[in-house]
Amino acid sequence: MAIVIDVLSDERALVLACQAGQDAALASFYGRFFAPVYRYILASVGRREDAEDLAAEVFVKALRGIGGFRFQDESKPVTAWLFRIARNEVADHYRRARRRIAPISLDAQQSEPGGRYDPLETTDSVMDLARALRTLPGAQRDAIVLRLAAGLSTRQTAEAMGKPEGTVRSLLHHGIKAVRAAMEQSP
Amino acid sequence: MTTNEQPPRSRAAEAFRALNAGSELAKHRVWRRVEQGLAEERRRARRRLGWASGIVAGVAVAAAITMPAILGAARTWYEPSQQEEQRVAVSAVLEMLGQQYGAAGSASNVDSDQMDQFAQYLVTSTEAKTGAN
Repeated sequence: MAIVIDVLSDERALVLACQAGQDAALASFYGRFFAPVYRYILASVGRREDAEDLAAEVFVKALRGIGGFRFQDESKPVTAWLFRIARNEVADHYRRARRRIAPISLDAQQSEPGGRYDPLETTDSVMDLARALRTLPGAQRDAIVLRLAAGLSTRQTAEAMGKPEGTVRSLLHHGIKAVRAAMEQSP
Repeated sequence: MTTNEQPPRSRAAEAFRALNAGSELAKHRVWRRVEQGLAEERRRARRRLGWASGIVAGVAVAAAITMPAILGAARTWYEPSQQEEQRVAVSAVLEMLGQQYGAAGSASNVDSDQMDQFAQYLVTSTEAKTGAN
């Protein structure tokens, strides 16, 4: 408990320093959250170049908007806010990809197993993972990507998703089975 | 971490581990872009501030140029009606005094020179109070 309180107060101090406009604090914020955000995005989109583009967008938006972040209560920490930005960026990425490719991909969609269109080309294990994750229901995918790719704790995952921890555990249990099955089936 | 939350094994586990590969290099590359993005955002904010300051300054200059003319016009519009009121007031006093003077007639023991002086005094003091010339 003491560790949790330390982490939260540390996080609060970091955010307050960022809000005060301290450049060093912005760099610390980035250093602290880059790895989980990047892994979250990479697992979601599969391509490293796309993941870097989106990570840059996420951090520019986050550091630009951090002045408006308010600590409402301890169940809505800055990680939840940051991953909401990341999640929106990933969703926008897929929307853009569909709009860009959809007019010329009717044949591709029809030839896709199950009729689903996936803009990712799977050439390595990360792309296979991203593709497998796209077949999962949204909540299962979010739980797996936040917990296993970003490396958040179950509690942080629950906070970021706005769901009880028990629900997150259940989503993880079923989601992991589904991902494993999907990846073993793929060539 | 409970058994339910263990990362998937085999291909899936390998994929989760591969997420870390190259992330340090990516961190440096992305930070440069974040810095550029923030710098661009600051430039945009300064430009917006410049525009806002320019608009405020423009409004202030326009007000400084037009306000004297507006005030002058307002004064011209307002003053004649005030003068009209003053003229009416003085003429009313004179008329009233004339009536009283006539009513008193020769039977009155009031000296006509004194009445004229009193009327003159009333006119002068009324004009002084109202600022009329």
